[in-house]
Amino acid sequence: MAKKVAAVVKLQVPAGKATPAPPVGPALGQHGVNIMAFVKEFNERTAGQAGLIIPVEITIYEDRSFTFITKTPPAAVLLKKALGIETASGEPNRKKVGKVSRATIREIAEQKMKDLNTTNIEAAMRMIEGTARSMGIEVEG
Amino acid sequence: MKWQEISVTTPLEAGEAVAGLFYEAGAQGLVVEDKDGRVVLRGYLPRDETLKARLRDLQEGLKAIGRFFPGCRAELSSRSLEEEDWASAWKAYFKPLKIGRHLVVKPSWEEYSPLPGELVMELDPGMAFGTGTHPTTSMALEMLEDLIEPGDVVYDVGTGSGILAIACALLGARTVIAVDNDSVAVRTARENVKRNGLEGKVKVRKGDLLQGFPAGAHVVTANIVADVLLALLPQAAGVLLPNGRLLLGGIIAPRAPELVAALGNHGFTVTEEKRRGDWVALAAMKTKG
Repeated sequence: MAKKVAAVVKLQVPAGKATPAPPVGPALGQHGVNIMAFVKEFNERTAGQAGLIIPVEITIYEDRSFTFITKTPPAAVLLKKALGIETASGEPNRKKVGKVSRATIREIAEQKMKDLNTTNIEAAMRMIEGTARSMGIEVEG
Repeated sequence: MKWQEISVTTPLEAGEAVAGLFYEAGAQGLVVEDKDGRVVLRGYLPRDETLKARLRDLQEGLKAIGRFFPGCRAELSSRSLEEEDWASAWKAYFKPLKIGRHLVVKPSWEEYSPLPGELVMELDPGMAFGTGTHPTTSMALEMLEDLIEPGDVVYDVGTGSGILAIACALLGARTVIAVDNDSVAVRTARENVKRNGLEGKVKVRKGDLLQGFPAGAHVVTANIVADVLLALLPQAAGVLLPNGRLLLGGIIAPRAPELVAALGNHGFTVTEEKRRGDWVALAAMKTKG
């Protein structure tokens, strides 16, 4: 069917745990999207990734029907998962919460590349390194 | 619950780090907007006794961002947001919609008393396209009112929400086989068929256009896009009975002459051409072959 895109909304939502509360409700409600239909479908599709935050890109068409694609979790979430830590440092300069190897940084950068609007692995790695340091994670090497 | 909406604008490279700060502060998700090469992240925190401390942590974190991403500055703004019934507020956009002379599309939560002669379809908007609000759908529905005859066998290609298939059944078709290549559409169409109590007449299957469909249809309907319709024409000519009818919708206006010519090449005669806005719908009859 001929679909004209009315809006594209980008969200990050906990896997399997979307609810009509913010950010989902206000972001989709203003476009007249069936919020419960989104919540149900998103939770079904991401049930296997429980505990992670999932970026999702929702395309809304003129008749307010929609489709969505899910992406790789945010770098901060992947870093915490890789290091097995619960929370980042509140004082990243003074209090360190862990160390990450260049190899892990590269791995996460590769995972995130397609979502980061870059084809340059070095640029993607710099982004992940900066994110790590801002969380009080030391980058080795 | 009342919410505090916090927006942070930051250069792209610091976006991931700022998202991390939001999650540390307890945000349950974010809205992400690209804006002039920067990114705006919008998070929501409950307005309770912990808000002050959470906001302070977030602001401290943002101040430090420049240390990890040289030259980066993050700007924060914040406003309060009243609790709303988001789960149902969107429904205000949908009201019963009369299309053509007989058909009425009505969302399941709306009450509607049909006037004599009206045929009511119950359809809830969701992931699959087609609730009658789009010109391609409304034009196709209007044309179906004249096209469908009692007892027809109809194939509906690219059924989406199932709206055309359901309309055909209500207008008197004996059997409708609806097909879509998208599993979500197939599921939604089946739910809608059931909601309208038409399981006995309308079958929905997953498939690639009319591949595997037996010959013997009185009508083929397809509301898709020009390129797919062009690919469908030889198949439609193959399954339609002599004088069988074809309804094509979803044609963007500049492509219409191409479709009209292709119809002629496949033994069809155009019987009606309708245009609304940028969209064209064509009805044709199989007069040769």
